[in-house]
Amino acid sequence: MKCDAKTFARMYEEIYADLYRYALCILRNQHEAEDAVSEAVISAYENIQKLRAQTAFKSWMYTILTNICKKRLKKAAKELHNVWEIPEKNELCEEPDYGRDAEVRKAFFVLSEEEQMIIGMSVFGGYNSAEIGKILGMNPNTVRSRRSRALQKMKCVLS
Amino acid sequence: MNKNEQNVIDQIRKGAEEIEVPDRLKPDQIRELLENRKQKKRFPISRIGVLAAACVVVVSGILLWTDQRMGQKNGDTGQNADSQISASKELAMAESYDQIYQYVKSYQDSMMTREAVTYDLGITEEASLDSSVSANGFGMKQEYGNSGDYSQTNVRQEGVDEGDIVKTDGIYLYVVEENGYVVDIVSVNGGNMEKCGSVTLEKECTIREIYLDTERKRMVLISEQDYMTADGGTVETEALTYDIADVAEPKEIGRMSQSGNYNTSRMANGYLYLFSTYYVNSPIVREDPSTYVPLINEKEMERSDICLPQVSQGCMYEVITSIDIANPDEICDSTAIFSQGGQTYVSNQNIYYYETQWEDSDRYTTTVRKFAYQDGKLEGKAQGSFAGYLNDTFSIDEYQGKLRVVTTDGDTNAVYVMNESLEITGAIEDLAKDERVYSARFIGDTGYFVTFRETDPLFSVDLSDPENPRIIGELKIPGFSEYLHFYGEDRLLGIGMAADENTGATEGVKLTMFDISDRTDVKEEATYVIEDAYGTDVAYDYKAVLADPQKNLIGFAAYGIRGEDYYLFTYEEETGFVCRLQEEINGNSSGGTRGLYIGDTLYVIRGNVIEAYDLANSKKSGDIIL
Repeated sequence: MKCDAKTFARMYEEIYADLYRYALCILRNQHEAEDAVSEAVISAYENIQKLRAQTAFKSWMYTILTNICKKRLKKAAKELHNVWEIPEKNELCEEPDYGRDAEVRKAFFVLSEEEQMIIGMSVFGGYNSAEIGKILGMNPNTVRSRRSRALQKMKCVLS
Repeated sequence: MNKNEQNVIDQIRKGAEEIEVPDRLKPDQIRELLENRKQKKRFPISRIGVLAAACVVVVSGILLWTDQRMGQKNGDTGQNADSQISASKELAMAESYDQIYQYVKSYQDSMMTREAVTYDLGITEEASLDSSVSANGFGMKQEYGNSGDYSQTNVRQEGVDEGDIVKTDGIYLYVVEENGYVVDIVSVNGGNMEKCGSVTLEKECTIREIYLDTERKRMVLISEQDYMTADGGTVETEALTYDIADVAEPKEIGRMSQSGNYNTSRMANGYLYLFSTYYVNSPIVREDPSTYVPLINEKEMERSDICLPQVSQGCMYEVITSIDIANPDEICDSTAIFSQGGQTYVSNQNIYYYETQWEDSDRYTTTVRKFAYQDGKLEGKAQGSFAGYLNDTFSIDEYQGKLRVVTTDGDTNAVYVMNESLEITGAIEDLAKDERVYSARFIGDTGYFVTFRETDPLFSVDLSDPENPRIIGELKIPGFSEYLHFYGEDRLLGIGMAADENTGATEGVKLTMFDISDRTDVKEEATYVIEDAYGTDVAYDYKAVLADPQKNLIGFAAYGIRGEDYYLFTYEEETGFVCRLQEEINGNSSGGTRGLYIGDTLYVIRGNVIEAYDLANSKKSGDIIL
C-alpha cells in the first residue's frame, strides 16, 4: 500500500503503547525497547509498499518487532558470554523498579524467551494461539500448551 | 483459554498499563522522524549495515504478515511482474548494455514513484552470514592428496570444498581472528600450540572465509570491503591468494575483486567459484555501463555474460566468477544473473542457483537456474521451477543428472524429481499435512526427510524411477532431527531436539542413530538426550558439525543455561552414544564454534581462543589466545 508519514503515524498511534510494552517485557531494558520500536518503525515505513492491507498493519508490526527483539537478545547473549565471566541473567535490567508495572515486568523474568513472546503477544497484541503461531512460525497447539505453562509460572510470581 | 488463564492475562495487562512510553516514541515524534526520512532517496554508506539487518526482518515479515485473521485480500495478490521469473524455461543472456540499462532504469524509476526505496534483497541473515548452501555427499572427506589423520570442513557435497573460518592441513591451524582482518597460522604440536605466522589485511576488510589448497601450498582469503564513492558506497568481494610454502611468511600471489557482498563460494579441482550479490545502489548513466553492470577487477562485465530473466526490471545481480588457483591473478570465467536474492547448491558438475518467491497466502514458487561448471568454465544450461520453498541446502540434490527436491508449500510438503532440462518428471504431493520439513538427506536413489508436528516422522522415499517417486517408509518417533548425516554403512545420524509427544514442547538436544539397512523399515537404533542443552547451531550451520564415522567422532557445540559447551560423542555397537567430553567453550565470536581433530587431539576454536583436548583421556592438553 501507499502511505505517507502522516498516515503511518495515525496507524501507529493505535498500537504504539502496546508495542513498546511488548518490547520492554521481552528486552527488559527501556533503552533497548525504545531502540527496538524505532528500528521496527523505520523498517516498516521503508517497506510499507509491501504491506497489502491496512488491516494487516498491526500483525505486520508485531512480526517485525518480534524479529528485532530476537536479534537484540541474541546479540546481548553473545556479548554476555564473554571469555571469563558469565553475569547473572537479570543484570540486563539496569533501572530500579517500582510499582505494579515492575511486578508485571518481573513476572516476565521467569519465562523463557519464547514464552515471553507468546505471553507478550497475548497480552499486548490480543492475539489468539492460531495468530501467534502464525507470527512465530509455531503450531497453534504448541502455542496453547506453552502459554498455559507460562501463565502458571507467572501466576506464582504475581501472587 | 480457560478462565483462570484469562484472569492472569488481564492482571498482567492491567499492571502493564502503568508502563510509561518514552516521548521519543510518541506518534508526533515518529511522524517527524519519518518525514525527515522520506527526503532521503539514497542511503549513506554508514547505514548499509542497518539496512541489511532491516531487510532480514522484512523478509521474514513478508512471509508472515498475511494474518489469517485479517482474511481479506486486496486485488493486489502479489502477482506482480517479478513473479514471472519462474514462468521462463530459458536462460536469456543480455544482447546489449542498453538492454541492461533499460532493465535497471525501469526498476529504479518504479522505486522513485513509490517515494521510499525498497530493499528487496531476498537474503536471510543466515544466508549472508554463513554462506549457506549446497549438495549431497556424506561423511567427512580428505580433500587433498595428503590424506593425513585430520578432519575437514563438513561440506554439503563430497568432492566440492567449502570455505570456513578455520581450516587445517594436519600440521597447522589457520584461524580467522575475531577482528575479521587477520588470519593466524598456528602449529599444533599435539596441543602445545604456537603461533608461527599470520596475514593481516587492511582494517576495513572483513575476511569471511578461507580455503587451503594443500597440494599447491596455497591459502585463499575471501574478504569483503566497503568503498566510499561520490554517490555513496559500494561493496566489493575479493579473493586473495597466498603462497604458504613458508608459513612464517605467507606471500600474496594473486588478488581479484568483484562487485557486491560475499554470498558463498566453492572450490573444486583446483578452481575457486566465487558468488557475490551486487545491488545497484547509485545513479546510473546510460553511456557508462560501469554504473549499472557488475565490475570484475575494476572492469565491467561482458554483456553476453549477463543473464536477464523474462521480466521487465531488476536491480540486483548474483555475480559468479571462477579462478584457477594455479594462476590466481586473473579470472577464468564469469557470469551474472539478475535475481532477487537466492541460494546456491553446487553438485559435482553443476551450479544450481535457486530463489524463492512468495506468491500469495503462504504459497511459494522456487525458480532454479542451472550452470554447468568444469575446469573453471561456466555454461548456462536450463531454468525450471517448482512449488514451495526448500528448508535448506540438504533439501536439493543432484544424482545421475536428475535433480530431486523436498519442499514445503503452505501446510503440505512435496517431493519433485526433475530431468536435466529441469522439467518435473515425477512428484509426490500433499505429504504430512500441517507439518513442515525439518531436515533432509539423499543417498543414491533414496531420500530421507524429517517433518514435525508433535512427533517426528522420518520418511524414506524411493527415487529410482524418476517418473514415479514413492514413499517407502515412515518412522514416527518423538522429537525431530534438524540435521542428518550418513554415519558409516546403513546408519543415519540425526541431531535435533527431543520433544514432548503430547505438547511438542522441546526438552533438550537429541541425538538419534537410525538403522537404514532396510530402507522400507527404518529403525531408531539408539538415542541420547542432552537435557540441559536448549539448542545448537547445527540446524542452520552444518559447518559447525564434526561427524566422522571412520574416526568414530561426533562433535558440536550446544547452548545450555551457563553458556556454550562442546560435546564429543562416539557411537558404540552395544551401548549406543557415549559422551566422551563436555567442556565449556571460552572465546567469543560471531562466527560460531568449530571442533576438529588432528591425530589424537581435538581442537575447539571460538574466536581467538583455541583449546586442545587429548582424545584418549578427554583431558585438556593446551590452549592459546591469539
